[in-house]
Amino acid sequence: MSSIDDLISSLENIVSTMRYVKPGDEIRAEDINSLIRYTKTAVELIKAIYDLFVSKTGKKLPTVESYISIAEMRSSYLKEVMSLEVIYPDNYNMVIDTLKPIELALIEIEKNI
Amino acid sequence: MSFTSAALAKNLLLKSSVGRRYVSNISDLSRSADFIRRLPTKKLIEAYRGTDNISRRLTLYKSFTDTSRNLDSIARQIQLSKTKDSSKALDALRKSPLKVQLDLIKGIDQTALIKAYVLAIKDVQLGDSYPIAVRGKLLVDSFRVLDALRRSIGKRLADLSKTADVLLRQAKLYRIFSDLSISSDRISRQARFLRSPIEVLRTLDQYTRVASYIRSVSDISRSSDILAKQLRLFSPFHDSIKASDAASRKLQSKRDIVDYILGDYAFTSQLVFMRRIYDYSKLIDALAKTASYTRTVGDSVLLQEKISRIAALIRAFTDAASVKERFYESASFIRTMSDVLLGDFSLIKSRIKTISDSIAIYDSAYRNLMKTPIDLMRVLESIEALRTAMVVLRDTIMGDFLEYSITIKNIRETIAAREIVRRTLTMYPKELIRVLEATEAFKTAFVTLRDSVIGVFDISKSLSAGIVDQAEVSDIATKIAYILAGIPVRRVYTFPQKLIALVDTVQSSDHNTRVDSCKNLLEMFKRVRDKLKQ
Repeated sequence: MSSIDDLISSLENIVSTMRYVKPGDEIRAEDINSLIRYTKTAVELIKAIYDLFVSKTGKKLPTVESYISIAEMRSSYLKEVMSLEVIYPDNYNMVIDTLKPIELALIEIEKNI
Repeated sequence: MSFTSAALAKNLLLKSSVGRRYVSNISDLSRSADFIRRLPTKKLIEAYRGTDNISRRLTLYKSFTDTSRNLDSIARQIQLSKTKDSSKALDALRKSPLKVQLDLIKGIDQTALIKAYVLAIKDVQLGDSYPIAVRGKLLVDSFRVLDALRRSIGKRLADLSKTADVLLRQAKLYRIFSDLSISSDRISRQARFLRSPIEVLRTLDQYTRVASYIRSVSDISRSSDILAKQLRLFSPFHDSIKASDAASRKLQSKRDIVDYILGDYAFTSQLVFMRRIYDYSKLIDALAKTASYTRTVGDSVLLQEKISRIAALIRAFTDAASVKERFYESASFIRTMSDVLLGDFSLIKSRIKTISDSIAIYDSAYRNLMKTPIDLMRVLESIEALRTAMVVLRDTIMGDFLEYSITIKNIRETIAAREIVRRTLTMYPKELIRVLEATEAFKTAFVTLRDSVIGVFDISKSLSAGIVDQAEVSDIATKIAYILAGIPVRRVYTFPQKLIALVDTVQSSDHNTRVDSCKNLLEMFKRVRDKLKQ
């Protein structure tokens, strides 16, 4: 349980470092790196939440497991970038491709609580 | 001596104051003068006579020239006299006035000589005595008269000449006319003479043509009659031929059926005959057929192996895509897309259209992926049935050959097996072609999907082969926008320089929406955590 709180705290810290940009702003490596860190932390968090759900309810949700598996697998492709390194579209897209199954898993878990 | 001359002489004698010696001269002169006086008078009388004669003739000819009748009259006269050469008359006519004129000119010349002589006398004697002057005056008067006559005659002669010229021209004209008339008559007569043969020829020609036409018509009619008769004769033959053709076709069809039936019957009979008399030659034939079938089976098996290899390859891809991590991109991407979109559909109604499109794409891809294995399985089943039938056939015939114990059941099974073989062999190429095409299409689609997935997900671009296919799939995928934690987020893309027209720029909103989604997702984590804590 504490790990969940720690992870949420980590997420809060990461989100606090995120900035909003406007047209013409420089794209920094930290912008995409913060998203990547957030995503990887979210993967760990959803796994912890699902474990908590299973321990609490005693139910296993294959769909959620599948979502988590997908998110975990995709997160493995996430790599932080260095300054002056080319930022590929995959850096942007993989973040949301990973966060989406996490969101679906959260919804599914919330339904079954 | 005339009165005038006597008076002159008397006066000369009485009134002359000249000497006597001149009297004789005067007397001589008077005689001479009297002679001289009479001389022109005579000439004048003769001239008058000639002039009258000419005048009358001129009057006659003038009257001729006044009216056209004169010309006709002359022409008639010329014709009546049968003078073919009218120039002779005209020449005579022309010569006549010329002769008169010539004579007149001669006379005038003589008169002029006389006049000159008289004048010479007058000049010499005029101043000597009055009577001479008087005589001279008379002479002058006479000369004047003579001159007038001369001019009158000259005028008449000129008119006569003109008339003659006119007559001559008219005569020439008439002659021309006459000649023309003669020629015309001749031509006319000749024309009439010629026209008749021409007309005859024309008529004959026309008759000939008409006759030819009639003959042609007649021939045509005869030909038509002959043709009609031939057609009437030919029609039954034609109908017979038609009927024969139809019957032939029917017979051919029936014969095919009969042959087919007889073929089956023969095949069956062969087997029965084989069973009864153990005719090895028949068995050898059957074995030859069996060998052919066996070879076909062998080819089929080889083909089956090829298809099996293709199927195995496809199956390997499919299985790998669903199981192995190496093909995670294809399977997981599709499954995730489906799950995600289904999740979106349950949550966000506003994205229904995008989801529907995506599902349709997914369904289409799924069907394409599944169609080929299904077809492949059908063919494999057919090949398996073929192989089974071949085995049955081979075992049956070989069993007969080895054991000579064929039964009716074996025969039926053999026939049934042969039928299966026939149907399978007929079906097999079509199905094979269909499966090969589907396999190729599946392979293309799979490569496209694989490349696109690799291009989207894999950081390494070196594995991306189908650039164009990738662009197509990516373009389809650009329609897919995530609603992540209530925030629509857009996927972004880059394309190679070749597809610069499709280049996508990462917008500032793309980053900001992700930040918002992360914040919302964080709130969802907190909410679920709180629920689980309760």
